[in-house]
Amino acid sequence: MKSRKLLSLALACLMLLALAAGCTGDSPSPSEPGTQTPGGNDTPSGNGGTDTSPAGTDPYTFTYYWNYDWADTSLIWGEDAVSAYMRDRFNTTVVMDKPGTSPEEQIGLFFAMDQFPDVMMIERDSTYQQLIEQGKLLALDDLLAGSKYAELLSEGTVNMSRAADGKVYGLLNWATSQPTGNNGWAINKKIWEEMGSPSLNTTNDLYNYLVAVRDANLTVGGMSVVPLQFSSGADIIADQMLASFGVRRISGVAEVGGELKLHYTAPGAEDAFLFLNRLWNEDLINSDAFAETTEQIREKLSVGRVAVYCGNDITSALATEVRPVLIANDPGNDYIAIPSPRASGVTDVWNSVWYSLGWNVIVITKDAENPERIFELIDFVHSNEGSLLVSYGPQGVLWDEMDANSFPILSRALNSLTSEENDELGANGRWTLLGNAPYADQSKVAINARLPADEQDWVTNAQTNITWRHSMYADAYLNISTNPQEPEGIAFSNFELQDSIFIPRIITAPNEAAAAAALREAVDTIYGQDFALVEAYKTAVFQANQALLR
Amino acid sequence: MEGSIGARRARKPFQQHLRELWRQRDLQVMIFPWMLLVIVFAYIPLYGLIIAFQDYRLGDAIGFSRWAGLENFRMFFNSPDFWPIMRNTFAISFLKMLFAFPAPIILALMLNEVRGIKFKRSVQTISYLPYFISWVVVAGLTLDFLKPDGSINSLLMSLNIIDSPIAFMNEAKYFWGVIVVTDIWKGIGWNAIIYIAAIASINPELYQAADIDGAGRMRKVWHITMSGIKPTVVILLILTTGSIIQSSFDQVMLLTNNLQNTLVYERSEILDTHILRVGMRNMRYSYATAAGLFRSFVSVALLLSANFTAKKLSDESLF
Repeated sequence: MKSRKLLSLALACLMLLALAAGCTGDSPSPSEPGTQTPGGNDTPSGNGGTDTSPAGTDPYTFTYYWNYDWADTSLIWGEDAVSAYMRDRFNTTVVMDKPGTSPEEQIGLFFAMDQFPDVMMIERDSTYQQLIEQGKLLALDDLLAGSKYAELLSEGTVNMSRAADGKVYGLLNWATSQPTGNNGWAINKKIWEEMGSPSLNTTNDLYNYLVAVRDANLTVGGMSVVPLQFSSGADIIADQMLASFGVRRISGVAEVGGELKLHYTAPGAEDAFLFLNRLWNEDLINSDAFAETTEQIREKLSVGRVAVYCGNDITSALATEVRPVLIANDPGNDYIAIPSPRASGVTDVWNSVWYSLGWNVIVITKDAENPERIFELIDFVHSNEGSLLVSYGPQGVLWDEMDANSFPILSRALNSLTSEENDELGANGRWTLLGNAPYADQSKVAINARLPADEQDWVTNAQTNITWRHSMYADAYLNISTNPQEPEGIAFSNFELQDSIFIPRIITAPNEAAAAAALREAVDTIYGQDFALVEAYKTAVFQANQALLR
Repeated sequence: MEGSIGARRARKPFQQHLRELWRQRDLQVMIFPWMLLVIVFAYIPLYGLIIAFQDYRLGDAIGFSRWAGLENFRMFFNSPDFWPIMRNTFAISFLKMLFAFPAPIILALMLNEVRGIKFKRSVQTISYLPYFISWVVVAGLTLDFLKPDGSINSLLMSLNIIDSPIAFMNEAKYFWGVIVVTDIWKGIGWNAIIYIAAIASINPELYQAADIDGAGRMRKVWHITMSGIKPTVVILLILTTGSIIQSSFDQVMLLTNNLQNTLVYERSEILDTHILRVGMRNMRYSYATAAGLFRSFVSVALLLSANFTAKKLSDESLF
């Protein structure tokens, strides 16, 4: 009896202990899986790397958080040649992280815990502004003095990145002075040739081609071929088709006569949606287009079950992940990037937009223990030397010498690497902690120009010939995003929801009349929820930007 | 399972109460951590409800934002989404009560009548295995099965039940059905265990007596087995009613591809996903807290009324 009591007492104490342990604050936060990095990174490497590190000899680990749920953070620092080189040189380990849930929710959680990852890659949107206003970010001005970053970027560009208080909080990722962009159209070469290589310049050509593919009843591995496949999400479907009809939708609005108006009301928008509706009802778009995951789409693309592909990754994932698999299984087949089909009367099709401030910003938070060491590494990656490393690997593997512009002379093409060799080397920009667009773009073009036509890099050609030409200069649209806690922001959130409901509804309407009716209903509903506030806000920012740029 | 769990409530003097507490001190110590757990994770966070009546902005200390009165509640009740959301929440829960609640009872009754012990065991094992598969995987499987070129459509086509594939996840009208069927599939075996246990505790002599009285099999099932497990059924029914408004979140979330499949929105948006969408994704925390508080009120009201009804009708109740 006595022993039983003792036992239960002991058990109870144990539970108390466990509970107490669960409550203490030093358990690793979900945002920092870095505390248990596999791969033995926490042991300093013994090859003298510590001697060359000017910022101290202690090994240092920081978390680099991508605020994008599609980010691939499975790579482990130090397991490939590129990151091992940086680890040895700086004695620093980077742990990649991404939202465990949607980016907005994750940011909300960070605020709630008042605990942020050391480094974050975020959009230049209202979240970024909030982080600055709440004092969560480190002002980088002291670190910038004498840095390679300040040397490479023009002073004007750095000044454009200053916050309202005049300080720099974000490092511009892929700041550039020339177009960038990955959005556009690509076709399956084999199917296209089987169909007699028709021209695809206009939306009518596209329609006829899709019908021909459908009627040919092609199959791959027993599964039918999808005539037109979009990359995942209703937004992309709408964006890309609107572009073909001359409407450039940015953040829900499009420019109409100098003002930013609801995208449904822009001239050409109705035609674009009705065209999509027609494609849908004639089974030219796959019927699960709105309920598909990226993996499902890539699987179809890899086996060659897609005749025409349109998406936001034709010069990234399609080229680097899908294409090698397709070619390996079916030599002779390939994807061809094509100029975007355009509706009659449309001169410019803008599938992508580009800002001179680049894509987004890299920020260092005040929670970072050792910002100097972080900045040292990021500044190195951004420098020409670092860009060379993360793009083409260390000297002696793919290249031995450089040309006059200090671009490497490759002994072997990047895309000739097998995926295992690629994993070993870790080049091709997978560790680009801060993108240097001029170096990356110019080196690619220089390398490509040295190659015979049949060995030239698919991505570079597709970018220089296709996607960059379909990218619009959009500095006038900077900072038009609304704060979700202000009235115009609430209206914009309501719009986003309605938009995400109505786009599929219009496209999947049973006939043209129903689609047109749904479109009118969308416009009425959205204006009924104060969208005029959003238009006024965005137009004001837009016009102010235009005045500045003039 | 004994009759009414909390119906026995004898009045005792305070000293006697203390003495009893002391006598059970080992048990009291064991329960203490869980009391603490409830206090820390259920009572202390109640303080955060204060932001339902404030205009909380990111970075504010909780409870020190500008007061907003009932503005957040007004916005929630006046939102055009309010009635569709309530309809969906209650319809999904009601359908689950109607089909998913009795399903394990029926399975348990049927298993009880099975004589072959091996067959019974295998059915039990197979039917409760899905419980251990996470919703993430179940939803992934379901979405693959229901694709236009998925196995369900292939089956229906080869049986000549349909002529052309149905895109189940494109049409809102199938959504409730998918939710209920997957819920039954996943939970039936596991939930049946508690009923099987309750059946096992029925005195076998009752069956023998019924045999002597000449009762048939259905009569025995109804009058002995069913009335034997009635208290369990009632208690579980009351508990289910209390959570009627807050179930289905994982399911809806995952079956709509993280709320991205808006084609089914009109049938899929429930209170919990609305709170997530507006509160967390659009950062309107005060609004979301107000909606969440409303949800809790409805829960408590439902629980109390179910308890009251059960007490009136059958003398069985939770408290």
